[in-house]
Amino acid sequence: MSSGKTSTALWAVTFVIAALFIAFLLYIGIDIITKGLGNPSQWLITQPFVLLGRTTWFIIGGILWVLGTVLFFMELLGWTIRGGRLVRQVIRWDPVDVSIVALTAAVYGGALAATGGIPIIPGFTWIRPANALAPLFGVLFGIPGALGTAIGNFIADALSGYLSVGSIGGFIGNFIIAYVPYKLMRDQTFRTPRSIVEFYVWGVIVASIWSSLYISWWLDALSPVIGLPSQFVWGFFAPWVIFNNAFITAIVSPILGYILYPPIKARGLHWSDRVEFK
Amino acid sequence: MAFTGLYVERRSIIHRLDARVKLIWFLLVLAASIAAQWDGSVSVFVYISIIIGLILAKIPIKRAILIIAYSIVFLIITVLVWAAMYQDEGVVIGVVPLANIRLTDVGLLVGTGKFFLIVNPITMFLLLITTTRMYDLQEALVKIGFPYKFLFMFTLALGLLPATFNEFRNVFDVQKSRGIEVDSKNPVKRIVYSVSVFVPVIIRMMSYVWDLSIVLYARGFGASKKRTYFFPLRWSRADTVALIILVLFYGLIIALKIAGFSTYYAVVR
Repeated sequence: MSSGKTSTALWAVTFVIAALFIAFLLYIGIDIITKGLGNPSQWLITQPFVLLGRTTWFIIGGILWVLGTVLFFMELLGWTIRGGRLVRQVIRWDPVDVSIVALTAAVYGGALAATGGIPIIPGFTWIRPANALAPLFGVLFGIPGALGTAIGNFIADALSGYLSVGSIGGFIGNFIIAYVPYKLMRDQTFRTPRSIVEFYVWGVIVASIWSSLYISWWLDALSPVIGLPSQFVWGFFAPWVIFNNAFITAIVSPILGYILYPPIKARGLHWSDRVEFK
Repeated sequence: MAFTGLYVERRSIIHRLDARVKLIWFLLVLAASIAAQWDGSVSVFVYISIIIGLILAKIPIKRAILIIAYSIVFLIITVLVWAAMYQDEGVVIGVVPLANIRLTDVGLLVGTGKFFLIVNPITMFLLLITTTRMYDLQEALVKIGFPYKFLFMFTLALGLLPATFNEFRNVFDVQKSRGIEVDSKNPVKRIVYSVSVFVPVIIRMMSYVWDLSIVLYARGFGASKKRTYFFPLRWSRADTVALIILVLFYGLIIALKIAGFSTYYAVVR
């Protein structure tokens, strides 16, 4: 088979995988609507949480929380894991990096507030298209983009009146959504089947689950301070956040990534043009 | 614009307080709300104290209504969730229609206590940012050890928010005028349509990166490790008095709760 035909076949397989993935997420959404928002224990996406129970998820969430927090501080302090080794990374944090952080935060926070939520069940549940920007900013701008995403989410919380101790978990949780695809996608161009599949694995599935479990663990562990019951956190919040993030990023982010990668790269703002490893 | 429009310029006693006093106030509210989280009949006094703060600060009614409207939604959800968990404890007050939950006095106290645990810090944060200039808040946070660069990124992002909102508004209008759909009642279509808004906004905003960095370079950003302030924070006697009152009030609430006091059991029953 010629390389052209192989490429076409790979693209076809990639599109089928993406379509199946989006169809599966749509099915989960329809399942939630048909079973009703008042019955989270019956949703398909809640079943792993119901079956394994709060204790198991609290342990899994705790491990992911420790790992996420260590990585967050390690990356900001100039250390990273590369090729299985701990190495120094030089992010200059000069005015260009500061501007990238501020602008990504303003766009993400502004987009969360400006585009509003799309009501699934009016008055109760909505999904936010702006969530699609979080993994994208990580892939395009690296650590400054991930930090901008975290700050943007914090700002959106403040603007909507939901800022609380829980927002600290949301801060690092959003950093993780951007960090996971940045760190684990080998091909970040959104121009090859491999890149798209990698994005679905790391940017959609892993980042959504990790971020949701990270925030949920924080909310549960600090329930004496935050005030949300464990049943609500693991029975409603965690599955809903996974679905919300995965649904939006699966549909919108690859399209945005495909369009935005060339102009960002051409302007010299892509993380690979600005970070050095020692 | 300080804190992008969240700060409201007023001549009030709360505005004149040092940023550090208001930060400590926030922490005291959090501590008192945690101490009284199982008893709404006590934590309601924390909420009342913040409302008094909002009145003294002459906060616009529109903003106060917004936060109170949020509070009502939280109140209903929180009380229902906790009442359901405590429906077999205490004296039954009534049954919640539709949800079929027995509302007991214990369930109501816990539900309202948990409600105030969520809402008190949120409302206090509103009071803090509405009455404190970001410049002052930043200086106060730097004094207690927060890295200046990080706070500056935060402040800069907030300062850029109005420009971002304008960009979104302009792009929405431009795309509509070009006949490109940006809105639909179908949620999936609306998600897909968001691409035609996000792409131009991101490209335009990111084109500012170099301009903004040149401005920062030109103003010597990061040239000196220690940041100086043109208007340094000044602690006055009024700040000391306010701090003593706040510590005594919230300290009393915490002490009473530790001693097992409940307004409901002491007064109502």
